[in-house]
Amino acid sequence: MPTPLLEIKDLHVSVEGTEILHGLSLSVNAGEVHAIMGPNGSGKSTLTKVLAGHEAYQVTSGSARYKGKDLLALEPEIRAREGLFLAFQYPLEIPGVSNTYFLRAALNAHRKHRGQPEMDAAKFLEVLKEKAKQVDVDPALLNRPINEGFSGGEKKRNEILQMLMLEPTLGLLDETDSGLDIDALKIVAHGVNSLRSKERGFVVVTHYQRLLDYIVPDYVHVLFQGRIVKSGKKELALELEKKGYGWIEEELAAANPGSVKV
Amino acid sequence: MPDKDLQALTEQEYKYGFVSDIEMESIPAGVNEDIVKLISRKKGEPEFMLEWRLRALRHWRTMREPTWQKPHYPAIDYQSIIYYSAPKPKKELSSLDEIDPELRATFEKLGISLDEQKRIAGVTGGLDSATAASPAPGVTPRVAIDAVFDSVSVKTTFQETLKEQGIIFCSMSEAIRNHPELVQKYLGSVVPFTDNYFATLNCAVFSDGSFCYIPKGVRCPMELSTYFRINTAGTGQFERTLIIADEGAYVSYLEGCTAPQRDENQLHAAVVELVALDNATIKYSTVQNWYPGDKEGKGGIYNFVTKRGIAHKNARISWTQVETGSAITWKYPSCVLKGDNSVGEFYSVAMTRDYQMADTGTKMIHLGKNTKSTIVSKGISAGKGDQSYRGLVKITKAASGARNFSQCDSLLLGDKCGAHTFPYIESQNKSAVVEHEASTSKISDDQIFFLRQRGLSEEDAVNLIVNGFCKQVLSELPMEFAVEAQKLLGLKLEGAVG
Amino acid sequence: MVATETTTDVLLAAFENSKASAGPTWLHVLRAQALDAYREAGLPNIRQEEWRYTPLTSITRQTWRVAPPDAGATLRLIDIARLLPVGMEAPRLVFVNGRFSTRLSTQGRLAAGLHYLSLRDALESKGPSAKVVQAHLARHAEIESEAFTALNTAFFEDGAFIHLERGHDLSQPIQVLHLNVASEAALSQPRSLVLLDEGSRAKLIEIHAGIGNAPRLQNSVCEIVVGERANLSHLLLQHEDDAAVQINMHRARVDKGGAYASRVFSLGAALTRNNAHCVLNGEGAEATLGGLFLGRGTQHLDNHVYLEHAKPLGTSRQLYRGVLDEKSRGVFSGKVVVRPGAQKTDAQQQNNNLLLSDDAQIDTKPQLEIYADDVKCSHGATSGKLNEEALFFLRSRGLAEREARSLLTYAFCAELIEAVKPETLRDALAKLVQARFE
Repeated sequence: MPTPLLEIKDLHVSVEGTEILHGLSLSVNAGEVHAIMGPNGSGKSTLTKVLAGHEAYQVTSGSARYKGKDLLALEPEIRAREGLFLAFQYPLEIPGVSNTYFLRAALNAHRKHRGQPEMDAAKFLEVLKEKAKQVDVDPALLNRPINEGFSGGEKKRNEILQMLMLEPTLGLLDETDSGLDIDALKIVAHGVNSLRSKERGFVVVTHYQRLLDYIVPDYVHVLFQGRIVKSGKKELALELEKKGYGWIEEELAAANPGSVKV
Repeated sequence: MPDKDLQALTEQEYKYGFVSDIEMESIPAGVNEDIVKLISRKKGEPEFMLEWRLRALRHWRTMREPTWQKPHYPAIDYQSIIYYSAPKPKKELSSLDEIDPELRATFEKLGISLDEQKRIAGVTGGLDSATAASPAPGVTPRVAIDAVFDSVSVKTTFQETLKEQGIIFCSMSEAIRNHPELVQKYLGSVVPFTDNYFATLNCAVFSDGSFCYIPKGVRCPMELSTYFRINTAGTGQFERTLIIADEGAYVSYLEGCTAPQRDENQLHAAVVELVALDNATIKYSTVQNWYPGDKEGKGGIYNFVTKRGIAHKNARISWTQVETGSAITWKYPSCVLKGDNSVGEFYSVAMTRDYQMADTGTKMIHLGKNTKSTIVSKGISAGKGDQSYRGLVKITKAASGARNFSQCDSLLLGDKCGAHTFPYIESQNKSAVVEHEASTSKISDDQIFFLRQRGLSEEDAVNLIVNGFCKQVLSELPMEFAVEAQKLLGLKLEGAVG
Repeated sequence: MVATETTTDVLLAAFENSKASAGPTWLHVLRAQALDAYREAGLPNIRQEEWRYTPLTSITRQTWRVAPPDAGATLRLIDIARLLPVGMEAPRLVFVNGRFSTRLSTQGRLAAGLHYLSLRDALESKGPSAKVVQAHLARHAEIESEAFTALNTAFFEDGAFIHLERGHDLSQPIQVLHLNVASEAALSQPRSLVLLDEGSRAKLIEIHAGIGNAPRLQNSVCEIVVGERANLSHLLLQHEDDAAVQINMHRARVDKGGAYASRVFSLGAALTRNNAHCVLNGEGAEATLGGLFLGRGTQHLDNHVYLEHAKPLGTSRQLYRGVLDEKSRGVFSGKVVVRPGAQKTDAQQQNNNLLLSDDAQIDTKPQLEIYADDVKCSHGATSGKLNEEALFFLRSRGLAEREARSLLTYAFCAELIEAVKPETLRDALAKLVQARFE
């Protein structure tokens, strides 16, 4: 068996002293798309944030290996340069810092890390415009400060644009579908699908099955109270959509919690 | 924010702290009528100037040093300051225009070329000539420089070129000798000799400075600039700048400054007066990089400056300042909006770190109808730095239709610094609209995390955010100076792309 | 200034002859210290930064005396009723010229845990209240930096004492009426204490009003302590007339998790100076301070706010609005101070002013003084006139210009009024304010 792209084992994570993830395990191989579903507060965002290295999230035990290496030992920017990308649920505004400048600085940091020369300004702009078109981002927005005055949909598409530019090996999408209308959803999904390949993996966190009509996952996991309590193929998502999360809770209650397969 | 980023931002060494070994001629320390007479005589001034100086001195003796400002400092002994210090002329120099090679070398080292053939590398002393970006093809931006060394102007470049259009750009001493009518008419017309403690002292003892007159309808073809350098120990620098833009004229002016690293505090008490006649525009930019003192707060310049402009009908005065140096910065570049439809602007970035203190802001005095003013102030406080924005917007009864907008933001880096905002708004006119907004915040951890998630180092992330915070002000500076200012702020160069 | 010297002497004499001089020793010591402090400082003047916009000539140009004991003896309940916005139903303590009037007050059936009486009665009581007074009186308001507080401390006769014990929740608002009645220039100096113990909740309505044509100077001080997780909603309605000068000091301390909401409606008086001084003294404390000041004639209305975040996680909101007509003058000075270590402070301050006439004037000075880095602080101030576009819109819909102006002016004030509870009080205030713009 090849080394999984991402392998999480029995991960326990706390925020301000409260444990949110209680022993989560997950394995993602290159070429696969995993969807993580679950009710609000189940720990979905915590998972993506801790993988990206946010300081507020403390790993108390367990491990996460990325491309065979200890992911948790790396600084956030090194994780990024190694190809881990997080599309944020709530993209931030950064006043005065232009999208274009920031993205070029980010791209060149990645290239330098890989021992590649910096991309010159002309070439960069050419690529950027092309990718912007792909996710329907107005070129005028590119020179504006990051997300300042962007609509909710524009912010989300801007996240995907950054992903297209940085071409990550592992993409973590944190509720990228929330607040999007169906057209925007299609654009976002198309952007993600265009990056799907044998070398890349994705973890798509979502509340709704809707997104998975467009980004079809290989596996679906249900995250509940800080653990993955059920895993299946894409059909699981449809079942969840139909029946909600209640039945899982009942199933859990019925079973001996200790025997829940994770 | 991680401590090491703060350190990177706050622990930059001061690069211009060297002392030049130049033979100086100084007068005895202290201020009295004899000293004032001596300065006036050394400058070969006409009688009216001496009279004016003496009146100022007499008035100064009746005044008390103000204490209302936030930064406090040990008492200054005004009798121990040397009020005049100038490089000794060397006999072997063949013409009046020739400069002591040591002086030339000093300014070269600061990135200031006194040679008209060479483009200046940096008005703020920010760049080595070798690393200066070459100008865009086809454009040769030129800057005329008045170089002031301690108490005197040593060289003013491009005087001849400017003269072709009737522009007078010279040292204040030269102006007093060659254009007494203009000096007598305008000197003290904006900042009278009774104005305030430091300005009054300046009136009595000022030794030099820059003078500029742009005739009617002329758009000054190049940036004008003064570079101030304090060199000698124990001196104070008291220079005086007067800029007159006649009807319909335009000028963009920049001042820069540095000083050697010393354990003692040195006083810099300058006065700048701007007169914008009907339809004229004056853009005045400052990149202030006086020696700030060491990490323990020892030494550094006290930068106590009075700057004020008067705008006549339809005129515009725009102050832009980037204040990164000095142990204490205490100044309020102001606009008296006298003429109808006149416009005043104030754009400021102030950064205080280590033990630096700044109390700065502006006054916008609306006298004319439909006058407009804009204030944008960005303060960055790091280390144990402490700074205050203090401003006054006054709408007088006659100023119908006046409009002001003020935005004052502070960014705090570290939990030992302070940031304060003290705006005064006085409105006596119901048709006037005044709006003031201010905010104080720290760099958000989430913003830093986002940028790091995209692959930027922590230090770059901080720089990028600080840069973005200041952008609105930096964009008001002439392009090449904006680059300098960003460097000074310890920022990465933004705007090279897109 | 000669006049004030005289005033001090007159007051001293009046005080020595009055019942107030009979009191516990600790109070005598306090009064003596306060008198020294006042003599040291004298009345403030416009050369002092905190008074630069508020000259006190209306105080210094005459000699003030304490009102004779029989002033207000002829007042009837009906005179009181029209001054109370929520009417006679709610319990009330009535003070005439700073002296408690048993006849005009009704303490109602006291709710459990509530001590609601005059300060003098509390001092003289055999119960625990005397001790409580001693523990708090003049322990919060400073005499060194505030000359008027010093003057009050030296000479006050009486005021309200409100103490709500731990965990009690008052369903009904309680009222305090300070009524100034004079036939010749008279000074009254009410002194109150409002103490809410841990977890208690109360609504306090304070009314300042006056009757008579003679000049009346009221210099009131009220010390407030909002205990841990306690909640005080405090409303002050000042509808004095042109003969009055009002100097008020509200000095509040809010402990951990406590919340203090204060709204000051200044409608009358020739000169008003409201000082609100609030210290958030425990983690997670909250303050909501607000005020509406309406000026006409030659009224001078000054609101001075000092809000200090001394501990982390505090929240404060300030909203002050002024409407200035004719030759009136408004002043707002608000300072937010965030002390070192008061991290996660969230402070907002806003002052908006409307000038309705060519002769009206506003001086505003919102200030932030911040010594902690992990904070969110902002302030804003505006001055302007009625929105011409909105005016035009309303007229195009058929409203008369006068009506449209009145509507928009009221709308400018509405945010402060609408937040008032209970509804009866809100409606009464709305009526008072609306009447000003008709």
